[in-house]
Amino acid sequence: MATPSKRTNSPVLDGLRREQDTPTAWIFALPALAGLIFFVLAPFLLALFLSFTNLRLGSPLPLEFTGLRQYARIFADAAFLRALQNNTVFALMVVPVQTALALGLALLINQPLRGMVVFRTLFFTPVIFPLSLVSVIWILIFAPGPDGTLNSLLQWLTLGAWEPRDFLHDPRLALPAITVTSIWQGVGFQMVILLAALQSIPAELYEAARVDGARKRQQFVHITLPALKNPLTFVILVTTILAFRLFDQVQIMTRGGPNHATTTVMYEAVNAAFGSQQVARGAAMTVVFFTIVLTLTLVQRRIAGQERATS
Amino acid sequence: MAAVEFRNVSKRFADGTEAVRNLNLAIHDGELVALVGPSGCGKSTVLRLLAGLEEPSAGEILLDGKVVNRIGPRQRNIAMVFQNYALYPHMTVRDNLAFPLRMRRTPRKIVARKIADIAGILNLRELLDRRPGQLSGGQKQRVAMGRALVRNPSVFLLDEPLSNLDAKLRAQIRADISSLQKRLARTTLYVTHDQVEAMTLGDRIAVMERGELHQVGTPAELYRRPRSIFVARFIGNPGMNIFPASVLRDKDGTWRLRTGHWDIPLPPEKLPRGGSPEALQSIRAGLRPESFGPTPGDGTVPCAVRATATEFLGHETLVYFHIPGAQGSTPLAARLPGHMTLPEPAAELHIHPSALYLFGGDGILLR
Amino acid sequence: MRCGNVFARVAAYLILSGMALVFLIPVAMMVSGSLKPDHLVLPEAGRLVKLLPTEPTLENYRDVFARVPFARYMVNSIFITGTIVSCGLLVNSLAGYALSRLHWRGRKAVLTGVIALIILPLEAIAVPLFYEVTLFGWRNTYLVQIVPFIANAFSVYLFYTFFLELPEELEEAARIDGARPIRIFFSIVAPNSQPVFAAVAILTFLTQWGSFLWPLMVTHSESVRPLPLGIALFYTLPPLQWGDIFAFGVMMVLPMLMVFLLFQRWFVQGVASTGMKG
Repeated sequence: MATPSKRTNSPVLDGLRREQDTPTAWIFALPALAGLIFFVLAPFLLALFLSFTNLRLGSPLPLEFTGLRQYARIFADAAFLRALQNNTVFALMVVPVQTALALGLALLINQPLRGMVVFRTLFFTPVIFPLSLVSVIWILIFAPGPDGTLNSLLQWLTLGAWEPRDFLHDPRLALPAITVTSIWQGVGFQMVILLAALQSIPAELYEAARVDGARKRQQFVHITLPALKNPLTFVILVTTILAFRLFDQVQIMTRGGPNHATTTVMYEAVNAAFGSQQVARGAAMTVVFFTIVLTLTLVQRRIAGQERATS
Repeated sequence: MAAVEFRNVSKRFADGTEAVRNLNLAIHDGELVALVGPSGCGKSTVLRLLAGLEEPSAGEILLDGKVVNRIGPRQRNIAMVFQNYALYPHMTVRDNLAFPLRMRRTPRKIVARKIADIAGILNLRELLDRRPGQLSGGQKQRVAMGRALVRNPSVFLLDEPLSNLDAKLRAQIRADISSLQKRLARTTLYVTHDQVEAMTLGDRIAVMERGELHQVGTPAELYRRPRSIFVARFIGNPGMNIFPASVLRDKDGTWRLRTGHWDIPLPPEKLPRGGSPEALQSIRAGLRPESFGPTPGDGTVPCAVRATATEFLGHETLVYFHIPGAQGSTPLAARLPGHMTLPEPAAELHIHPSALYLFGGDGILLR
Repeated sequence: MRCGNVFARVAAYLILSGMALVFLIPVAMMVSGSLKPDHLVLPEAGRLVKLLPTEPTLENYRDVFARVPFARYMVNSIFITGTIVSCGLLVNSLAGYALSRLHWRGRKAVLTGVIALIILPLEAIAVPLFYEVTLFGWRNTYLVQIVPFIANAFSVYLFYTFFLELPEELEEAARIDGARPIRIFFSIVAPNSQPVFAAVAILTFLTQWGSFLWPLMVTHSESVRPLPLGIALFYTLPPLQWGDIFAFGVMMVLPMLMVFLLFQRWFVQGVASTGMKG
């Protein structure tokens, strides 16, 4: 007998239940709601509001509405524009490389071979390392002079042809160096998500395909990739958003330098609000950051939605 | 102990489906009513309405004469055995049994005593420290019964309690429930899709179809006088054979039922009252499989059959056949005692005309 | 597959082992550096053969405690993260339960609001939040590092989707047995929802333990600062002694590493669940 348990969730005709549950439900939800309202929603609205003012902590000037002036100023600011550019470049490097690497590792680990759990553990380990620690370790790897780990490795590989570089102080190499650090720390997270998706594909699908005469490559194209489409768009979205959140590595490894070569939107926003007390300016940058995140999310939703509609 | 009454109860879900339509049903104090019907007929919804898990869209539900529409399950003092038992997987059997008592702030000593009592009745003593995951299906079923009985509920609800058991265990636990019910005499609503369970356990049986109650009565009443074709087919195994026929008045004034090569004189008590001659041309006739006999008896009429298959069940044989010359593709069934082999496809079976049922075009019993 | 791509199998192992080295060497460098005298760390950073310290010493570990209040950082990190995780589990699971199972006026609206808030990362609100807690006078306290992060929209959402999938029968049985929602939640639902509690605990732990930006903005005394700020500060503290820094790093990551190796299955499931739900 089909118990209509799903239907009990339809609250239209359950007056009594609703009456009895409503006070309890509000008590259950209130602590979380209060937290979200005070520390997420309110600051967000505050950011919108402040970005239209001239607020500066400790400033004697009265609070004034300045309309879009903060936005006009930050978009005229070379450092902020450089930050936007850096974030974009960083995303364009991190997202494809990290996603491809995560996918490759997940596919390798998903094979029915011995010892795969050990590799999974290894690749995931950096995820539990705080970014601050990772940054410090990689500073040593990128250390200048022939003794630096990377320099000496490259020298060995090129049979001494490599000229030692100061990666973190080279305007062309600083951002790529941060990219490598970030990928090293983050790829395990993506890999685990993709691996879970791979393992949730029923084995019968592959067996059926084999019976139908599909080769390995055809199986990959027709079974594996479609099953990975949603997790992949998710992973790409999260990595892109993370790329725009970039802060810790920059703060510790380069402090935005050399000459703004590694500054980021968050680095500029924190410096404005915290370094020079210009809260309104920082708020405006925050709003720009949020707009980027929102756009990326909507694009991902659109892609996932299309996929759902076509399947 | 309590009496239950449904008065004009309807239940419409938010998605618009009407699971129960204008239900009127009374369950007397200490009585077990079996609610049967096919999947999706609304019987589980009736149970959930009584438990307080659902609220009626219209009508009233009464417990001991009091309307309980506005009372939640917590205050109704109703116990329920779920189809999948719904035992709390993280608690031992003992804690499962204690849970409803603890919820009523029963003193510890009394809890221990009641658990000991119920464990004795249901033979659960060795299982008290196990968890549901370590129990067999039959044991889980007994624990679920125990959890329902332990707190002396005024009404006892069972939702297909045997459907997850294998056939042998089902028969045994059915017998257990039956003797338990005789001993404890709880007001019980027992939902099942299995007419055998309903017949063996129910003091009375209520038959539902598509949200509507077809008939309520004792097992004997439902078997002897089904009010509709649906009930006639549902009760009995196999259910009643239904076939199209016409009722005609012969030249000599006797009424006869005709279909294909069958021509059966109708005894006076089977004559349809009223009814236009046209309506009598196309009625539906019913015969229980057990009304057929292999040999002529007192007052029987021979009927030619064209057998299509026989099933030997040991103590009896099921013969499936068509009525020669009649349209209709579904074969009829006859239950014959012992091991019968019809010598050839064309043979004769014998019925007593008084075993006939006549239904109108709307499926309602005429006589 | 069986008929023998021995070659493919060897290739897979080779690639994986190569990658494993890339992941292992930085970690090994940290551990080995922490055991070497300070003046040898940088010069030997380029030589893999020197990964095994010739004269291992625990000097650096002693130095860490002498030069910075390491124990204080550790206690702060444990206290802050532990409080956020435990309070967060309670608060967010209750909200998730109310949204998935209770019937109440306002449910739909609240659910929509919570889902909308998921896309706001801390960075998007850090500056105004900084201003807000300044107004509250909360700067440089434990409070400011804990309270804003207890309620979490994504955690609520993870709980919500998990509870939605739970069979409702157990809860109905408990209702009939006479339990109220609060009792049903704590006695019936929570004990049968370990996977989601573990997933949320681990995700919260991972984000909060490494938290850097926020404590950097709102704290200025070492007495309330957590480990990530500690190591960043230690790195800038002259003289730059790599052995000490790595000893700090090893001690900082060791508790996490042990928790991770013990509960690896839960970590992996917790992370994977974000992908399933996202």
